[in-house]
Amino acid sequence: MPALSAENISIRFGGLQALDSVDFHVNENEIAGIIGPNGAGKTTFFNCVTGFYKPDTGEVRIHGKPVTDLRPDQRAHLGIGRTFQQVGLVRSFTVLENLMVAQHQKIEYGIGSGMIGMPASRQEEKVVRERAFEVLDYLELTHLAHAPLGGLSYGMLKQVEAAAVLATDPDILMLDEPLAGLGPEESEEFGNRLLQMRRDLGITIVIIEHHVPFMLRVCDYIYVLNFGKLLAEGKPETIRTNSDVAEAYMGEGAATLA
Amino acid sequence: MAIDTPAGIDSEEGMDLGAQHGDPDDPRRIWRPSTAGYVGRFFVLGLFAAFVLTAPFWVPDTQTNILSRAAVFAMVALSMNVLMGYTGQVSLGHAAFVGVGAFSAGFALTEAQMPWMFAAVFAIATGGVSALILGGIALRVRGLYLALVTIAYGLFAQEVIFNIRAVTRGGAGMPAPRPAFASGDYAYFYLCVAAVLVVWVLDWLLTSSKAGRAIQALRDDERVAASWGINVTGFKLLAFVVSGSIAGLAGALFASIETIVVSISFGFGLSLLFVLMTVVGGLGSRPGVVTGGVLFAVLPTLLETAHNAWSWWPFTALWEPLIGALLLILTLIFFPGGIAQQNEHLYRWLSFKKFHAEEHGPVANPGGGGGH
Repeated sequence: MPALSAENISIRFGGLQALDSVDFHVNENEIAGIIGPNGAGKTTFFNCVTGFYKPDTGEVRIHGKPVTDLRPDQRAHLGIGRTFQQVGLVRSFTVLENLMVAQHQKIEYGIGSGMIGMPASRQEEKVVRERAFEVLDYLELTHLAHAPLGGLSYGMLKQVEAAAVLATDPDILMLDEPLAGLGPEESEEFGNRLLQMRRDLGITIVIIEHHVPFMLRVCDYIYVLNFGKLLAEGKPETIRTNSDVAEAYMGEGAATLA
Repeated sequence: MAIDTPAGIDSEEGMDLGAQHGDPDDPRRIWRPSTAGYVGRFFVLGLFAAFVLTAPFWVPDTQTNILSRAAVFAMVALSMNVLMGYTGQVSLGHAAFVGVGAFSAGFALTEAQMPWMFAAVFAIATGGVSALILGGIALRVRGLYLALVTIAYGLFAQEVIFNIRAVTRGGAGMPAPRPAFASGDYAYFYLCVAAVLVVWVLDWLLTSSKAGRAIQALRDDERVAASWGINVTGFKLLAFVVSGSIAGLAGALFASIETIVVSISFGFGLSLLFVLMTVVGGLGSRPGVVTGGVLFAVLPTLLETAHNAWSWWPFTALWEPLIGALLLILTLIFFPGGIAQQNEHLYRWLSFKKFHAEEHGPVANPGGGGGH
């Protein structure tokens, strides 16, 4: 059973068919990539899968369970974690506070017992804090723990965002342009980290990214979107030599990607 | 899945808990003041407590009720803060919540002959329920439209609900006697202060737990909050209910200051004053909004007293709206974080943290109210 699947997803905004019968699936512990030119519908597809948009047709399943009618937070409870193109973090919190609020759904004490300060909830708060540091350690961001977000660079913010999503404890990690703001070396390092995370944490990863060589390196399977339609799908090697894809990306006459 | 950090990844950083104690720069370490630091802080807090508790002895007996009113305003400010400071929703009809609490308490005391404590609980409940109803509507609109809905709610409550003679006794007003254990002005002031203290502690527990974090997270970005599994609608409603309940309690206390409740007390002007004192106090900061509430509650009396004492002092209580508006403008231009921003270091020191914030580039706006 695929970790995440989407069948026949279509969505229309006014006169624009943003997605047209897109089929997608990713197996447990695989890394799937979605590439395509700007405006191809990649982020729209993410929003349909994570519940921010309701597709006109089609069905999204998480671990085989249909979730099309669920809200984003309910889908998060089923194991979906995502990042945003415009950095999904709480701006007025510090890095540590962001990682603590990101663990929201794992905190078991009730709202009431938290409000009257029950000892059990105090204890759990300590665990939440400890765990935030574990994630920061894992991504080597511990030194930023008490920094307010205002002073961090865009690349740093993307890293912190990834840490916050990891803190939500996702089974399926969906990254929207994680390399934005990173230099070539940092991108390389991020790729290594991604492969390591997949191995260490046993998670499934879906990535949107423009950086084709990076995608060819880390992904097990790649989907190519163009004008809301699936142009091609396959293993990286197939995609690389697919002339349709090369034309969509590089212009007419191109034979291979990268 | 849990992140069981495998060996080798963090061998340098170290999951070694022993490191927490050794290195003073370890970010895991929670900073604590030294013994002298504790003594100093407790001393200042003690002086402050002594000042508050002896306040009735410093002012003429005719003005003790104004101190009680200051405590009630402080509580309203905490209530406003939950809504405006934590969730970023504007409420221009907060006088209505306070009014609902006041009339509920009056009704419970006079018509139902309930003991005062039960009447207060009833006021908390009605305040919460009325906020839940408004919240249900407010979730569908935002920004300016929400402000308009809250104005409409406030006017509707004052003009219609508070004039239903059967439950409010119309223009004659609903009596709201004080509890037997605090019938004197001094005793009643202490009751108000104790109630503010309880609300303060509950608010602190709220903000330092899961629910408070969730509420503040969705203020900044609802989509991000939802992506982290936070039920945006649910927590917004919770904020409305908490805010309304606190306002309800404030209403019950307000009712028994003058021991009579009349609908003209809860006009649009009062709602506006509540917004003013919260913003000038500093959105998101408990000490800030409480200071703002107290300041605006005593401002007319202060002006009047100064006018009587000094012949050169031109401002009477009539100048209060103008001075309040001026304070708001100065706040918005120079200190968007309000009184809390001006006293940032002091407040931080008194809450047992370092006097100076950690040095990490630009200091975050303590109000958190700007830029979104």
